[in-house]
Amino acid sequence: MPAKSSLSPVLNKVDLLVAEITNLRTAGPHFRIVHRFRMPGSACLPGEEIVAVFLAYRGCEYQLRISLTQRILFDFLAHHSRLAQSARQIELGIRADDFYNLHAKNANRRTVLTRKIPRSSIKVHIRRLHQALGLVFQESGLSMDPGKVLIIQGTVGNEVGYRLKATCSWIHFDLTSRDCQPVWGGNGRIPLRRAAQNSAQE
Amino acid sequence: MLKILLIDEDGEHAEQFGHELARRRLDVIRAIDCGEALARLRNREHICDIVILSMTGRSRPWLEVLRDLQQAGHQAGLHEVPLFLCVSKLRLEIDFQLKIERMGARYACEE
Repeated sequence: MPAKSSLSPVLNKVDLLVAEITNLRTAGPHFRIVHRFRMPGSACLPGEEIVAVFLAYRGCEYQLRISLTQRILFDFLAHHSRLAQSARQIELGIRADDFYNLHAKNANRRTVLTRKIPRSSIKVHIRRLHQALGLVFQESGLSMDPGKVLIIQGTVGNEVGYRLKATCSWIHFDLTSRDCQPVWGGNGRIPLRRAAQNSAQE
Repeated sequence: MLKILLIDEDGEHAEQFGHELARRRLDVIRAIDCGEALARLRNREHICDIVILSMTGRSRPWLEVLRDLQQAGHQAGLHEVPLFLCVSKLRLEIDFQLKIERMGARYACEE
């Protein structure tokens, strides 16, 4: 039937759109979280920086316009996207995690890029994240309600839980300073002075 | 069941297309022209998931038509805007396809 075959490229595109809608409704959009200052050869470890969050949609990436505190909160929610957590649980979870306590420490051995996120401020940051999601959805042409992606879930009590309904992936950029490269003497971050002593002994 | 708004002035073509879409368990509503499509899109009670715009003939300002349809979709529900698919029987120029993609819609040719 030639008429049927002539429609098949169009029907393939319809199938693609249907799959896109179904996937967005069931799993949510996809975000790519970028960590930098990773020690070469290591997995995701404390000391790295959450440098950016991108929405990945139709082959393009759109950066979320969010602050350091919101990047930390987004990363935390992305890591625990299967459960809704209250503001108190989020505060505790972030405080107890060395990844956030030592945030960006690999860069200069200082913790200037860490943030303590008090429970009382989480509601405000969630609202700002909703705004940022709204902006990035608008920019990308994705018609989604930010409230259906960063969900505020009520409980039978007064407490509310926050959950990110999205799929996330993490990409890492390694540290490039000379003393942390395997080719210059291993993965350990040896101070330059000690590295010089070691090479002198050899 | 996802709802499709099919805008197609060619009755026979629309019937064949609608039949294929229905076989995919999609709920198809047909609009015979853009005026009817705009009215349907503005109606908040019948929010569509996908709009298929059959672009027959090159004389029409299809990009403007697409923009009007997208605006109507936005008016109906800010966060429930349908996805747009523009189709044509003859392959359109790459520049024109690019303009469609930049408007956030997709394009397919029946060739």
